[in-house]
Amino acid sequence: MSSHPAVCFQGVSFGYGAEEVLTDVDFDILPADNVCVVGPNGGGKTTLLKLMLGLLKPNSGQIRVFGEAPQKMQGALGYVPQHLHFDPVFPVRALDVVLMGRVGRRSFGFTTREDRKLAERALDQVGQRALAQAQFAELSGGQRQAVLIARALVGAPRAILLDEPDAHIDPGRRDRLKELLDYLPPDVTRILVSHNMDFVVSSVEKVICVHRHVHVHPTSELSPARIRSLFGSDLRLVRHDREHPTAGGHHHPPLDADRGEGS
Amino acid sequence: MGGFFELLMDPDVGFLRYALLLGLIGSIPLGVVGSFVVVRRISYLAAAVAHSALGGIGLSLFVRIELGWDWISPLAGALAFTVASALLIGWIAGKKGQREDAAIGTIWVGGMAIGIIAIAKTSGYNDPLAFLFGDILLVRQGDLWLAAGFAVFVVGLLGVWHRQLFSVLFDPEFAASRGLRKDPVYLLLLVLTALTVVILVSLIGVVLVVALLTLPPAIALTHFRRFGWVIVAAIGLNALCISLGLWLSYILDFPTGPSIVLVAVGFYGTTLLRRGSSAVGN
Repeated sequence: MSSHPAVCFQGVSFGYGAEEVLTDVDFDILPADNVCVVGPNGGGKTTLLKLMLGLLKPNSGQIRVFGEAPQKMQGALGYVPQHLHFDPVFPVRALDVVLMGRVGRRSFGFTTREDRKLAERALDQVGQRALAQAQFAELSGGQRQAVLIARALVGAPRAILLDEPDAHIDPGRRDRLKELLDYLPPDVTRILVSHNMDFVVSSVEKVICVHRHVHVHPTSELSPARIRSLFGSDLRLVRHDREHPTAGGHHHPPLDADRGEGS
Repeated sequence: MGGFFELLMDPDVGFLRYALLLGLIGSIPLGVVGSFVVVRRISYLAAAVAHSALGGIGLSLFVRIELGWDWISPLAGALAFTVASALLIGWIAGKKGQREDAAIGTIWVGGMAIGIIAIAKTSGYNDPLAFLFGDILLVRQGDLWLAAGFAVFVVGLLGVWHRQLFSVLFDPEFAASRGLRKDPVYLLLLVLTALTVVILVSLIGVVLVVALLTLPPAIALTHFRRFGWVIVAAIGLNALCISLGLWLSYILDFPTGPSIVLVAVGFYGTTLLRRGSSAVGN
């Protein structure tokens, strides 16, 4: 395994125009870590993810992904975007969408048999193999989300970045999505962005709190006071008694949190 | 109908055969490029690029006749103008905060205005309508080789890059996370559109070529759910529209370009009516 952190931010600041969104950000995410990025809307969560992906360049500071500049490591990252504004008449099947995860700068010519096999396996991993030939536009929100996760997995990424994967699905599907994320390959670094504290899945080891500045906490140390200072409102934290295995085989008391009254 | 086929096979009369062959060869880039244009919904960009061709045609006629620059052909002028327009539109579209629609409108009408003025100021009789709506007599044997070469070029280019193009058109943000930038892809698509327009400008004109770029893929999209089949169907539909349009223009003594386009419009209208009636039936 690489000796470099999966993601390393050193003194990173970024702004859209004059408005600074992230200020002097320092943190590391280790390989095979399972972290959740939380914070209020507009706090800089998606910006943080786009900086990791190399889609944005910091105004100052340095970002390294597995020891390299993010632009050099784009093939090593699997990305599940928050919004997919696609044309419903775009003629594309679920399998075609997953195959896009095999397309990079050096992808020339036609899809190979190997590509197709890997895409079908990725669909299998997310429990949607039967939908391979279905039109993407005709799938439910949860099924689409699963297909997009398969697209992120098909390139055998070393890290998977999910931007609010729970944003457009109903509560029942949300539980299914939590299960799905728990069963991702354990050696893959998982970075999940969510503004819903109740989606901080049980196996998450660290929570990266983003609100212009960034603070990293082990999940077990996240307190109501910290969350109140982050979100600017009250939240009700629910700590589960049962223990869950983590990616590295360690055990910790998992945390779930619900918005309380008055939030 | 007999007269049409006799004329087509007559070795002493080439214009109808050249027109049909140009249309059939041109169907390939029209179907391939048009399918990408339609799924990306940039028909208006394609229309602006097509209309700007008139500027190049007019200016090249002017410098040929007035300045004696015989080495500049109207086709070369159209090519230069459309490719420059495509690059300009692509560049403006990639700039944040720019009024893309105003820029497209400017290129659209600006190109046409330059063309009409240049044609008006050129000595002798030059009918602008021939360039706007096509003239079967403008098709030369040399155009066929150019069109064939271009068809091979487009199919080869998209054979190599179609997965990247398709990925960027469907989800530019995800494609960017895989190292694929959308701006060069859009530019490539617009330049290919420009080249396709130029190839067929003599047959159906700058105004009507957009119909063949967009209507057959739009019809194919209502029948096929896989992109590969949409492209194949769009090529076939273009070939059908051009063949039927040529035949109709011969037997009815109609202008060729508008006849071809009316066939495409007829097919599209029928498709819409059938879809409408099946939706009501459901």
